[in-house]
Amino acid sequence: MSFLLQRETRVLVQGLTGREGSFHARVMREYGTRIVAGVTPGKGGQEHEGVPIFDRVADARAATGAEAGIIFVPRARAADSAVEAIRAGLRLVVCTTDGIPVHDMLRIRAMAREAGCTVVGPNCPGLVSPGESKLGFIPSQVCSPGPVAVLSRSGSLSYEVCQELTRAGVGQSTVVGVGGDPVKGSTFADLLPLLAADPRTRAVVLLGEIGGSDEEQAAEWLARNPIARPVIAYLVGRSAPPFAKMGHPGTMFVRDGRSFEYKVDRLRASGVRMADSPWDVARLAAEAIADLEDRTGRRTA
Amino acid sequence: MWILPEQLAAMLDEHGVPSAGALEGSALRVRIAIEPSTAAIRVEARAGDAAPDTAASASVDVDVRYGLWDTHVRDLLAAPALRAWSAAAGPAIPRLWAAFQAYELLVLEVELVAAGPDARARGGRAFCDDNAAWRNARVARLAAPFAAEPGQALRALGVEYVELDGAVGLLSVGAGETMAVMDLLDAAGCRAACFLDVSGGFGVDAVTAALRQVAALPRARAVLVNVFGGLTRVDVVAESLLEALDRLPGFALPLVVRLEGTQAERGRALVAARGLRSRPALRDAVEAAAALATGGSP
Repeated sequence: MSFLLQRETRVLVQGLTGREGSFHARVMREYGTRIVAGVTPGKGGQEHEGVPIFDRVADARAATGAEAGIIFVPRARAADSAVEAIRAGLRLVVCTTDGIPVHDMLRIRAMAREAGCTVVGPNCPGLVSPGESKLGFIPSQVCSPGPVAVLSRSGSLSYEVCQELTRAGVGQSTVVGVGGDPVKGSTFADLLPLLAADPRTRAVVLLGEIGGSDEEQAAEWLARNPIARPVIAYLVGRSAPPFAKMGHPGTMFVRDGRSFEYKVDRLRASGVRMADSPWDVARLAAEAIADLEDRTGRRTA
Repeated sequence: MWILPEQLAAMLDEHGVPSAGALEGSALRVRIAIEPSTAAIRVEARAGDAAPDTAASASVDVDVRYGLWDTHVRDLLAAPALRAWSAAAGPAIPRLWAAFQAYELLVLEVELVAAGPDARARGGRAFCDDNAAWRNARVARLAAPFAAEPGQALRALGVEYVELDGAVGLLSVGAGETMAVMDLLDAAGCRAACFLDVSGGFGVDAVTAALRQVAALPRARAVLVNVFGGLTRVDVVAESLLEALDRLPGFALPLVVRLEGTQAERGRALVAARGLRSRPALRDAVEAAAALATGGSP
């Protein structure tokens, strides 16, 4: 069983009848995602490419047993769509939309935690369980099934790294783009406990960047909870000017002069191996997996 | 974005914390900020020049679902070194909180100066969330003075721009990917002249505007265009790039193009047909761009 998202997971798409939702839903279904319902207020009762449409998430969930959802809704209604999905009791909600006001995200994060719902995003490419299912638009051709979990603050960088991993013969148990906003539904530290409990994940790759404190929090969690899995991190933005918005709003939040080096030091102190390029991530991950296999081999021999 | 000092003064005045003007005296430094990665807003208070994490500083985390109450303020100012501030800052801090909420700030820092039973504001700075400008008229007013900056015109085309101090004009897709290339250039001994994240679809208008921006940078000696197409089709990217170059006949900077991902082979063939060499490997492209910009051959 892969974490969060499996082949069997029943998925609904908020905004399925829209241009983006309809396009991505088609690609997701081709990959294997089990899309059971679409939600578009006012279009309940219709069908879209064979998928039943409902007015409300609660109706869709009651009728189809959907437990996960993905939001392809313009930003003016995206936050409300996330709130609706959480209220309807979905256990996993992916929000790809960018431009959601931070004060809305603060409330959504609090609401999701209270409801026990995992929100991924916003401003993210979603997640994929290679070979099984995907929510969002991480290009499946760069991924392959395997033992390494990849968590990334950047979509594009995760594609680059997954391609390097795949070429090095290192597949992925899951790839999650957590998003580039300062306040996210799920941070590295929120997801690490789930990975630690996932039997298929044997090593973890964190793709971080300047700004915020996601990397520090991940380091803190790892220091307190040794997960017996090697962790590799690659952080970008070392050469960026301080306090600039480097594409992601999340890069601007620099606290008490805490620099790139501060994050690297915290991660190293927690036993994380640092990579300095996408191909270095693949090299370190391949080494880590080979080490694990040697050890297992010796134990069984 | 960081708002202008006069915008900050007007905002605080509107919420009942007028400017201290020439008023002197010791200050209580107050900071209200969202804590990225948690669901809390942290309120901090610090007497005069005290360092953080000393007896004269304190903080309280406010649950965004319930907001700030007087009990939070009493907790904040309960330490002996801060208690003297209760009378003056006690009523002012909830007003700062109200301004923080009304203007959807992410950071608010200000000094409070006692003025009889009340407090006045001195200095400070505030950061507002431009993501909220479309639905909050107050935030839109804060953002208005910045609309004329060059970065804003590019942003309207889906391009994020930051000027840097190196010699390689960098156009890439995706914030993290662009930062990664920026760091790799730096490690190769040749810093980027700018950060251009053309995430909004790599259309002809966006690429043209981005290349025009690079050409306007006096330090730029070469350009690196890097696209790893996931969602974006690389052949469409190549067409946009070629058409943008047609629109900019005076564009004279040497180009290094790296195309990879969805439909990359077709994209590489398209640029090759126009005499432009492209490379599939990011590592090679970075080295070639650095060599061109430092006067060597790629």
